[in-house]
Amino acid sequence: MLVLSGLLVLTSVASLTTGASGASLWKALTQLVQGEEISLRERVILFDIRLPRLIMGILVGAALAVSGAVMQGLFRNPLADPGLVGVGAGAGLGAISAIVLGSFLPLGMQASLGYFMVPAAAFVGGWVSTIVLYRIATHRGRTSVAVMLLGGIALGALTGALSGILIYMADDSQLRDLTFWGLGSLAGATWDKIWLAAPLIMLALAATPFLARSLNALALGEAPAAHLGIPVQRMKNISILSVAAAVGAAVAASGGIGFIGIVVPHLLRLLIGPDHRFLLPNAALLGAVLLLAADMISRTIIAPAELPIGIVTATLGGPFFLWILLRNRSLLDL
Amino acid sequence: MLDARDIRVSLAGTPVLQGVHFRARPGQVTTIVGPNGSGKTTLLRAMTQEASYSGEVTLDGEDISRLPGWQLAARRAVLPQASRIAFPFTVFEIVRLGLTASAEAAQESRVSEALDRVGLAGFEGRFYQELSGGEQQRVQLARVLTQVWEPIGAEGARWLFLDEPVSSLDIGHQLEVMSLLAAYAQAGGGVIAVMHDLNLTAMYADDIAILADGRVLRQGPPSAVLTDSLLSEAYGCAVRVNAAPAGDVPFILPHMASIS
Repeated sequence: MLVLSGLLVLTSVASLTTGASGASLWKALTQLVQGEEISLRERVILFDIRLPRLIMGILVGAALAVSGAVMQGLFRNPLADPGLVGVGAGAGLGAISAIVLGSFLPLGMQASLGYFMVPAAAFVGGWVSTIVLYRIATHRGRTSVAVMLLGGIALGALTGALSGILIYMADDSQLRDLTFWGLGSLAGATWDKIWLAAPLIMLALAATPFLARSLNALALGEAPAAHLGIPVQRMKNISILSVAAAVGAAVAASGGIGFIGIVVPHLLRLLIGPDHRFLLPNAALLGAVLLLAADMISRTIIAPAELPIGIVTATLGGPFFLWILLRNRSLLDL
Repeated sequence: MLDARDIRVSLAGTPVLQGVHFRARPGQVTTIVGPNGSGKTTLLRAMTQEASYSGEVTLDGEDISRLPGWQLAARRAVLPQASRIAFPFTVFEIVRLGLTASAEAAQESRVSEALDRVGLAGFEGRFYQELSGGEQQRVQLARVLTQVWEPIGAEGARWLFLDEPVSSLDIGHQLEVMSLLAAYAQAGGGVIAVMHDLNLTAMYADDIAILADGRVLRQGPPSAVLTDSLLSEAYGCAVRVNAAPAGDVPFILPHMASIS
């Protein structure tokens, strides 16, 4: 945990000093730390572009990784990810609707929503689909994880089809917007977006330490967990709502960023074991570190242009995930 | 005292338990026996609220459906039949879960103590998933034991509910585990076990409930329940209860030629 905290500080500093405008910012940063004046240009880049991006990266990375760990614990399946509760698909549909249908809204509304329209629609879409799925899976006050899993597939197909219809209707520039949104990026990070996303993510993350013991017990199964005195239904409610809030806010702010939610908890289980009391806080740290690292790669690899971060996480995450699987087959068998 | 009155359970529309009366006293090993599908496990699941039932189950006079989960967890522990674990937890971490649910403020050394009791000393660091079925069953038993370690707590007797606790064990470990349960009862705790093995039941049970077709045929001491006619009726085959020459403990042999 100490190691990871240190890593986070290092990547944060690296992230602040990396980017399209050149390396002079390292100097600016050292000057700033020593209390010297820095130029307006450097100040703007540092505080209005890099810093919000850094904070958003930390928030989104932590949100995705912790949500992944919570979902895997809840579904008792190491391959579960936040997408399973329908957040991803619903948020995607929301975003696509906003991009394609947004132009049909009255101009006044378009103007007032401005560039918040897409994130807001994504958040609402994610939240609504989670609630719908949750209602489907809950019968007589008991939420069936299996029904939720299968219902999620059905609901995902349905929202996918609706998204498909909208994509079919879209024009070329909208298609470009859609594709980029789907690949995810931290480039759009602003203080305004942080003020919207941060409270939701922080609130959800703050709830997770209370889930750790319950998630450990849940590994035995739902009935044994109940016999250990765990209020199983209540912890399911808290987990699903927290994940929907955290991932909904993360996806709304930065688009679809894959693999953090699966790779980070996995890697940590191999390093420090599956105990959620240590897994959850470490997942927050490692998720933030990895997303910042991926963001630096996305910014520098084809500089001055930017590669969408979703491409980076998938290109690195996919093979890495396979490597973990191949190395640890025996431990992953359920 | 655990008292279950007029328990009815239907699974998918089929009545599985049809008005079962069952009671168990602390200080005794009470076993539930009967043929496959007679409702043994369902009765245990109803009494541990895993299956929804009509009727009433009381623990020392209190309706268990009204007790909050953490209070029940402090007073009774439940051993499931087979348990698969979702993640690569170590044996130590699994057994420690029992400790966190316990009402006692015990040290983590209790975990090793419990493992020692079930004959798994030194298994703390092993991965649960890599153990054999019988070893996994004993790890679960150790977890359950740490949850209600002291047979008598401030609120009264503590209880062990066990679904076929020796089903995957070899004969030596079967005896070891049954003796452990008998000792728990002797120290004042309550033990309720679903059993398949009639001989082990005869050796260790103080009280036996025999089920057939969702009803209790009889509940009472071994001498009253382990009789030729009752066992033959319950299991649908001719059996004869015998005593081993060395002692007065009965043993049961099926008579293969006369399955009705």
